[in-house]
Amino acid sequence: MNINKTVCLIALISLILLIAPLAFSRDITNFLTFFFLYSAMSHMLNLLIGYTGMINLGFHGFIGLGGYMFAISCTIWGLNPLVSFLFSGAVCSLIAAAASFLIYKIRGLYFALGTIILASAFNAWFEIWTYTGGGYGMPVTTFIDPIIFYYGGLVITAISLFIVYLFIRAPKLRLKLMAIADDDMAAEVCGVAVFRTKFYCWVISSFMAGIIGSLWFSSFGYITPKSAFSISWTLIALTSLVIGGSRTLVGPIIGAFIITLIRQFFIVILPHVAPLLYGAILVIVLFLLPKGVWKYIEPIIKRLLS
Amino acid sequence: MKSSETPLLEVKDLDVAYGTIQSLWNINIKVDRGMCVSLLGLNGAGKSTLLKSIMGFLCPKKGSIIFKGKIINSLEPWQRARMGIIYVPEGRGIFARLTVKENLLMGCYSRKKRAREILREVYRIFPILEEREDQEAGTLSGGEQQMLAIARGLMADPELLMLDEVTQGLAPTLRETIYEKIKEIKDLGITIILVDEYLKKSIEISDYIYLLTSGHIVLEGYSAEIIKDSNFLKKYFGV
Amino acid sequence: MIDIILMGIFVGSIYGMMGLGFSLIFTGIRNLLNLSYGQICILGSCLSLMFVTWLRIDPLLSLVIVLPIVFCIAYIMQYIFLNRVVLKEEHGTALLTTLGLALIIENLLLLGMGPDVVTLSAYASYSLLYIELGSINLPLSYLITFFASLLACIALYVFLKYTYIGRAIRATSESYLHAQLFGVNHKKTFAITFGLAGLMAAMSGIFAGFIYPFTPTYGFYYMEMAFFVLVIGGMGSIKGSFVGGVILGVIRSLACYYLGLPYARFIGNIAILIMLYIKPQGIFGWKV
Repeated sequence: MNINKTVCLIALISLILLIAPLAFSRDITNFLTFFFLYSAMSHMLNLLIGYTGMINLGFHGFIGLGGYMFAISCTIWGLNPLVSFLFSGAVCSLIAAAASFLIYKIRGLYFALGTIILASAFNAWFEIWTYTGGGYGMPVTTFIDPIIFYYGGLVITAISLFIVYLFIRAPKLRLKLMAIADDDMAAEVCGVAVFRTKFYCWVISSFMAGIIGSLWFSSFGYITPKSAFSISWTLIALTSLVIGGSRTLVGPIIGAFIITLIRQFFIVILPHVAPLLYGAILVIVLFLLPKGVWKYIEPIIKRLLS
Repeated sequence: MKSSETPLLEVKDLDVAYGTIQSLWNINIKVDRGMCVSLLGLNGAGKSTLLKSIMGFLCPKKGSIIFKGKIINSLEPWQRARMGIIYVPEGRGIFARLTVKENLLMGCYSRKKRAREILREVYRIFPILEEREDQEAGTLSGGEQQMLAIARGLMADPELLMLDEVTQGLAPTLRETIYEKIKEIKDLGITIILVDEYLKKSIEISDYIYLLTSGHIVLEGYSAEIIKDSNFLKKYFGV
Repeated sequence: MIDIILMGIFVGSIYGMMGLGFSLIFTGIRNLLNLSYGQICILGSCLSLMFVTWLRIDPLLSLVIVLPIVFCIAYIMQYIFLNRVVLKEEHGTALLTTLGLALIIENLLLLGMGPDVVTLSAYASYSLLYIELGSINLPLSYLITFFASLLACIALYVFLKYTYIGRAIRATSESYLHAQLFGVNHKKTFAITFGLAGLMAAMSGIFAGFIYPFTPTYGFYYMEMAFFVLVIGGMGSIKGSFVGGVILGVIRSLACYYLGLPYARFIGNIAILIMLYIKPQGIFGWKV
């Protein structure tokens, strides 16, 4: 594969993405924004599921938590939006760290369901908490117009991609991660610091989830427990990941693109057709292309580029 | 094999591989009704592999397995079991959380009609199992579990009973006991293929022997004659 | 307070049945976590509603029509989509396939009946009847569903313990390879297992529909309940699931009465997480 061609291609794409809001229509910018955020979520889930084997079905818990923390610090306390982003990320990390006892002993089925319960617990808390408006929710400062939303999404995706890239390019770390994913007890016996590695992934992905959630809800303008902790966040990220291909760098991007495409077309028709299609495509892809689309396309693209 | 009758089981030119690693070459075996055939050889020679292939757990690269005159290559293990090929696997494979009686009843899953009759016969041969009828199978001792595994195989009213390492890890007295039971089963007229490391006893009890080394059949013959062959031990150890 | 506890027991029996089906899938089908379980419960409720409004029959009578339909759907789901991945030991793929199926079922139901919250009790003629025991008023429908759930669990127990197919299911759950040695078609057996679990799910969905309002989006919530039962009562034991369900029902009932639903939910979730850490095998269950 020709390195120069790949670099040129990436540079070109990056350039297009950078000037997109100014060059293209509102709709396309909108589309790309959703694409960015979906792929960021997908990358983080890739880190957890693809690379360390922690099947996290409660991802939406931290997205909602992040959204609420942003709302509290920006809308209620009046802090600077950028600071609020970091604040919400930090709180999410701390709570993730507190909940890390989950990763320590609990595995597989129980872990997956445990994460759902955790997200439910967050949901229940915000239903009670009158400080944030309880079940009725509260408005969130929308300081940003769609263009800033776009660049925010672009930055977050870039960061997510970079994080995953760091994890898997560092040669020892990558092997460690895959060993953990395949058989963590065997990995432990071989001296891999399993808990520590899992812990870092868990905390980092929660941090990013918090920031992603903050961005989402600051653009929506309103947050309720129901919308914040809806399981569809996790479902979208998961579907993107599976369709595109886990354990790859590009997989989540492709998956997110396909999902955003479906959403774009079908959101107008009926609200439930899109998730129905997500489910159908998920089943079909798992049936026919269990490793995800990217693993099958990759050789073709590599050939084209050389 | 001088009988002119169709053999119960025939294996023709069988090649078997685990993925890309070949483990059996050009295996040819005939088992007549009522005979007791022993497969001998060191560990890794391919004896269990052959039994598993006959049972259908491994797909042959080449060759055919013929049971009662019909080629059964395309049949799944459970279909072969229903035809009457019963395999008592190494490691016993009993259902630990089911009781002894339930394990036995699982044996006659495909022959439910004669269940009572066969159970009585089985309890006659293995009275210890009747005593422990309602105990969870996982709580039995090693020897008892082994007897349960064989008894369960009997419950299936087998046409062909394949016993894989049924005395593995047992004390010598228990081994003798198991071999006595196998003799009783043979006297009932059931066709047996025996794989066991207890060389002396398995030669004694069988009519015909196949010796495998590294996936090939290197020697075969009636057990009475084979014992007299001076090359036998050399071939057994692959020297 | 006795009436609250009694109500908890009655509702708990439904939870018990829910947890039973979930446990049956996990223990019977190679540790498969089937995320579409809750959706099947709701499928039962929705199908029941459909027949009740269309044929003008009592919800309990609709069981006769709904159960066979759900059994078939579950059987087909397992046989066609899930057997492949389960037998290949690909846990991740199996899990995600069930997620896809969950999405499909949920959204088909949403398309079919809309997101409105409905209830079955409006269609039962006896839903307003009470039986008086001293100072306590017990709704008749609660009593009926309690005994029906109990009966169903006992029936399942008898089926698994004393029939050939039941034994085959238990043998296959231990080792499908060894079960095959005796003529058991393991693919069919897995499908039957899921079919049975589907029956439990649909029944609990219908009975729950008597008591609580429901809508297709509650699917994952029902699955959470089933999981709670599993954590409390333990895996792999019918007695454990039923008792676990009753315990959950009583605790929830008391918590809701004294603390209100939102607080009860929050504390309940945290409690389950802690219990998951301390004693994941539950009261009666096997080692995890």
